[in-house]
Order: sequence, then C-alpha cells, then structure tokens
Amino acid sequence: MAMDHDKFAIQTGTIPSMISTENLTAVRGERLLFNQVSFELDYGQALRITGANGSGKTTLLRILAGLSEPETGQVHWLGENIRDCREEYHQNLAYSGHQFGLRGDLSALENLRYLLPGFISEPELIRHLKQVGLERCVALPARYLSQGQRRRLLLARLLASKVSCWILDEPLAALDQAGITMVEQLCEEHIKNAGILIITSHQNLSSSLGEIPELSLE
Amino acid sequence: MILRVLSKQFSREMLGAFRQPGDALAPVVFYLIFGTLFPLALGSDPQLLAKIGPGAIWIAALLAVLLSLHKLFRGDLDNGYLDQLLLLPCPLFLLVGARLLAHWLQTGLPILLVTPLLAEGFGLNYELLPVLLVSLALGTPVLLVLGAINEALTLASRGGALLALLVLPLYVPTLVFGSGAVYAVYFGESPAAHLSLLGALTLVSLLFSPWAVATALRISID
Repeated sequence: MAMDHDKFAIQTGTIPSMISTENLTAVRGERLLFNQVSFELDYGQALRITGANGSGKTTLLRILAGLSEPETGQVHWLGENIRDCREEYHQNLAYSGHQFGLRGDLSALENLRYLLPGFISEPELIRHLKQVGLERCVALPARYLSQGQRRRLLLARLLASKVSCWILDEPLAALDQAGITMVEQLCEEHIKNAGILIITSHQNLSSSLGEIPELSLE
Repeated sequence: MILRVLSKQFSREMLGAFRQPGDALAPVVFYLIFGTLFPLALGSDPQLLAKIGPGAIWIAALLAVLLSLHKLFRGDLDNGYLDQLLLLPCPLFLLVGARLLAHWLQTGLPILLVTPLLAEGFGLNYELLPVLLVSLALGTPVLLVLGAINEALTLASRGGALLALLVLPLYVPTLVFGSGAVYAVYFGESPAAHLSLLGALTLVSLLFSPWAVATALRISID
C-alpha cells in the first residue's frame, strides 16, 4: 500500500500544523465532558485519546471530524476553521466510528464503492478487499458479514481512500489477532507516509504505536 | 468531482431500492389498496364515487408519501451511513437533493403510473385524468420534501407519530390546491388558478427544501 507522498506535500504551504484545536469544550446534556482541549498535529504525527467509558472520546472525535459542534472552541484544518473549509477538509479525511455505515442489502464490494467519494476501478476495489482478507465476501450482502469482517471492510476503505488524515474510533474492536496486527501495520505505515492519525483504543497497541502521544480525558 | 459523488449517491439509493423491491413498492401498493377501499365501502353508486374520487385519490397519495418517509434517512441513521454522508466532500444540500430525487422516482413516479387504475376504479370521467395526473405530478414532490424536512428534524427523537402530527397540517395547502384543480374541471371551470398556485408551491419547496433538510440533518446528527 504505497501511500502517495507528494500528495500531502502539495498541501503544506507555509501553514505550520494541519490539524489544531483551540480550547475545545464539550457538554452533553448537563454534564461537562471535557474542557479546554488544545493540541496541534502535523504531518506524520499521531495522537491517541484515552479515557474511561463516557469520558467523551467519541464526542471529541466527532467534533474533530466536523460531525458535532463543540460548546466552545474551534478545530482548524491548515489554519482555517473546518466549518469554513468543510469540503476541502473532508476530502482529506477518513472517519470511522462505532457504526460501519454499511447497507445490509448491498454487497461488500458495493458498500466499499459507495463509502468512497472518488472513482476507483472495480479490480482495484477487489484488490483492497483481498488485502484485508475479504476475498471470499466480495459479492456477499453486507448483512451476512460478521462484526470483525465489517471492521475489515472499513480497513479496505482506509486503504482505498488514500487520504492524509485518519480519525479512528476503536478500530480494534471485534477484530481477531491477525486483524489487530493489520490495523497496527496500516497505522504505522500511514504515519510513516506523513499521514495524520487520531485514534482511540481500549486495547494496548503494539510497541511502535505505543509510543505515540496520549491525550487523556479525565 | 461533485457530479461524480452525486451520481454515486443517487445510484446507491436506486440500487438499494432494486435490492428491496417489496420495501420500495410498499407505498404504491398501499396507495392502490387504500384507493380501492372507497368503492368497496361506499357501495356501487357511480355518481357518488365519481364525485368523491379526486379527493379520495389525493388523500391516498398523501398518505402513501407519508408512509414512505421513514425510508429516507432512518435506515442510514441506524447503520451509521449518515455520518459518512455528512463527511463526503460535496455540499450536503446537493446530496440531499440527489436523495430526494431518487426517492421521488421510487414513490412519486409509481404513484403517478398507477393512478389511471384508481381513476378507473372510481369511474372518473376521462377528461379529469390529465388534470389529476398533472396535479399529482406537481403535488407529490411537495409532499415528499415537506415530509423530508420533518423527518430530518425528528430523526433524533425517533417518533413516527410525532412526524405525522407535524407533517399533516403542512400538507393542507397542497391537498387543497391539488384536489381543487381536479374539482374545478369536474364543475366545468378552468383548473389554471389551482394549478399555478400548486406549481408555485412546488417551485418554492423544491428550491428551499434541500437546504432545510441539510441543516436539519446536521442538527439531528450532532
């Protein structure tokens, strides 16, 4: 999975950090989830968000992806508020949440195609499905896929999308050992290829990924 | 790029309907069955049937559209696809427009196609059929997009009954002008006034609804 190095370099310009947040605060109902979260991420940098159940990890990721609005604070992409450059930002973003976004009556291949904005040829899509070990499920309706297989389908999507910024919410859930190793390898390679990775995971990550900075939500 | 994203989303909606034809055709079947209940219940008085026909057909169409609304976003909310829809690099109101168009082709168009059957069942005069079809062609998109706005707004609350209560009053003008046009011809008058008001309603709602639905979706997804 050769990641296109130059593709990210074009977007560098003079602005220092790709993703930065300023004083993010999130409130759910009456409860304050987190307060004054600020960080900056640049090419080839990763961030792991940790915290107990209900500490707001998913909320933070949704805010970072632009799906939810923070109570206060802003998220910037290349120095611009993501609300003002939504399409440009989303062109470079792959977000994978707790739900998979798969339609049960469409096949794995069709689901993969419709999850990707650009046009990718069918042989290439099938190649990505093979890469994640779904070669026997290409034409299978997604409702017959197991949880782990659905996760793998999302990995194929990450592979095929070739975007610079990954936001992954518990990508290891429901995966077998081989799948976990695959995710870790993909993430390592993504960071090596100057991509950005924001991840939450309750499981321990492998040694090389274990070194990425952590942001703890109290 | 944007056109490609849009055509892809459109084809996803259409393909999904072809995979679940029973689900997709349910509103039309409802339309036909509901329409045929009237002649069965009211007995065989041809004059009475011909008189209530246009109104009854319009109410049947209205309820059929209302019945189809839950398919618009609910399935994709449950499986998480709406998140991904919001993250596509394309203005959301265009994506919504593509989806509404696909949905109208799945419900509005079949309703139009089977309307001559219902008209026959009520024994409607043949000269009423063209104006009935025109009024339904103008009216069903309005019913659909008004319902879509409410559906998007009530996604978070998951209330089917709430949706119906909110939407039905909004359907009144469409129903009045739509069936009014047919009755105008029935009483030998020109349907032009009703149809132009209905057409204006169609234009305005088609123009603003994608934007309104997109905004409502963003609020509901938050």
